[in-house]
Amino acid sequence: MRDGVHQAEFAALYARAHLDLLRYVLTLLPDRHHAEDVVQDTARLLWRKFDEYDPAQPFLPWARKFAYFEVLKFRRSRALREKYFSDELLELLAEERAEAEGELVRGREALDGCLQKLDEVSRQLLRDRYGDEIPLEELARRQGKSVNALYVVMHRIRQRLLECVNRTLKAEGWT
Amino acid sequence: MTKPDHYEELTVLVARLLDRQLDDAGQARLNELLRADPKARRAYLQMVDLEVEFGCRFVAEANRELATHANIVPFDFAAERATERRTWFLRLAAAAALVAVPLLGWLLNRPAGRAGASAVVVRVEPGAGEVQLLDRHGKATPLKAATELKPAARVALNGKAATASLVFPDASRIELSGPTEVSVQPNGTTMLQLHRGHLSAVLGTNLARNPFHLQTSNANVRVEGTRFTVRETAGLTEVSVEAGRARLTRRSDGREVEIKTGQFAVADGRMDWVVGYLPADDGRWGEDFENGLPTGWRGQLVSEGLPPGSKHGLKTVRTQEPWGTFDVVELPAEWSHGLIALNTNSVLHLTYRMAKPTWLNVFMHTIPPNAAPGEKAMFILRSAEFPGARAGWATVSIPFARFVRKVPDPVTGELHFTGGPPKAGERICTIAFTAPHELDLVFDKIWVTPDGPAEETVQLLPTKDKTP
Repeated sequence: MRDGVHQAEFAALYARAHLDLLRYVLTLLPDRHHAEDVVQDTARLLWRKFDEYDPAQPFLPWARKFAYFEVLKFRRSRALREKYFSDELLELLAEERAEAEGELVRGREALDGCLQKLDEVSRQLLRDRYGDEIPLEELARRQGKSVNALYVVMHRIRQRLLECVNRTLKAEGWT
Repeated sequence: MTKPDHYEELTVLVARLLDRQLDDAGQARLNELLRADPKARRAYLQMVDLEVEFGCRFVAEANRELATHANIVPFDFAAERATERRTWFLRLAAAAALVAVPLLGWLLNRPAGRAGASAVVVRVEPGAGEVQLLDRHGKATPLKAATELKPAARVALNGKAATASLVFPDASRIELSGPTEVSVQPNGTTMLQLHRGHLSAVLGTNLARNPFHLQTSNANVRVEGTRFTVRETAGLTEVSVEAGRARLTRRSDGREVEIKTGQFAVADGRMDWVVGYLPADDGRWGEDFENGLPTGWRGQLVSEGLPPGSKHGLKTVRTQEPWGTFDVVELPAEWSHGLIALNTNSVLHLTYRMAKPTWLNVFMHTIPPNAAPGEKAMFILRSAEFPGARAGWATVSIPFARFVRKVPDPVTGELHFTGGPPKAGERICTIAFTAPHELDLVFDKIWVTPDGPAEETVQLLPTKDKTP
């Protein structure tokens, strides 16, 4: 039985790595619900394996390896290999995700400013969709719009934000 | 970052993928694009990040109470058993709570200011509505006139109409309004804590001479000046300086920003400070692009074929949207405070050239006077003179009264551009000049004045002669 100090160490490390793991898994398994499942499975696995973790090494790369294998396992178990990315592309995305981390971190910081520039209607839509997790179909029904029309609006919001983030990155010299 | 080839197609496919609406053919095409282009993969990584960040920000907003008060265990250590799936967002909130609660507790309870510093007496004058004094145990009593505010006591205003004033010995006044909670640490450096709500300060000579210190849930604010406002809503801090300067420090990471007269800054515990300009109060605003492409504008900077003496202009840029492709020039969008406040005589001036005269739409978004939070209005320009059938350079002056508001049809409820012009005090958020076809439209200057001709006027300009 592991002691409380051990638990606290793990909790602190995992809390810091949690979102990075989620981004990583969602990159490889682009379905929110699947990604949640895999991250939960990964967390359990990490806790079981925590005795093997070398505290002299950074936690996230260690955790990512387990997450990667959990993704592979999940794909196999759900027959998702054909549905999303090939194994080769999966590996490429996993590598490039790690390499691009600095730029992606800055991009996430820049997003804050970009969200501030967003009009209130768009913000409310994001709040409904992501804050209250209302399905797109339900939002479309409430607004009297087609799902496709609402999808287009969502896409436009995402695209505006992405372009705003990239303008910021470009201004800061990221290529 | 340069855009990958097939950018529009790629973003549509990724968005559909993340919305779980991508069919097999779409997935195959997406795989093809991702395999072929590293830039496409980078854009994909960014879009995934956006997806997660939306969740973080908007659920954190929705669950702020949960994140700071709930006792949620982020990971069940005992559970080798399968746990019921929760959303990642609740886990994020839980992780945030673990870190935020002790930190917040320490920040709010640590001693403020120097021991032994001389005390400043602060009186509280209740205005309208329900104004209460909360003791350190949270017990509320109605506030009486000229109550001296004791250290650690809080003043709480309940309801939108509630008002109260903090009055300092040098006649400095801080006006509180709406649902607001504030406490004062009356020591040598006058520490005010704004727990929530809105305050507006007009400082007298003594306080204005020394920095005024203020705390919100996520920022320390040091003001040198006489007039400023601070708003604290759901963990979001907004500081505006009407006269003076302020240094703002985000508590989570110590990031600082300094703003001065006419500027505002906004931040919460996670995002970096966003700084903007308050709407000009003289009713004048404009841009001539002489120093290059200003921040936030949409368009392409050009330097050829401009009027004499002009170095730069802004040309429409081709923009792809999911529902079509458009040529557009757009002013920098300022959705928080607006770019400028209009009056009934305000005039829009455009110096422009359209090589192939054709029609276009001019849309304007505004914040109406006394708008509810987030309320915006939309207008379209009904101009007789812009763009007109001229191919050369011209300056057209258009009263804002030529803009028509989008309003709901009283019978069907559908929105149409059939309303009236902008009202006095209405603030422009942005203006977009756009058409689905090629425009070849260049602006040399765009500016707004508080008055001008009551009717549209046109002045033709000579084009710079580029021959030797």
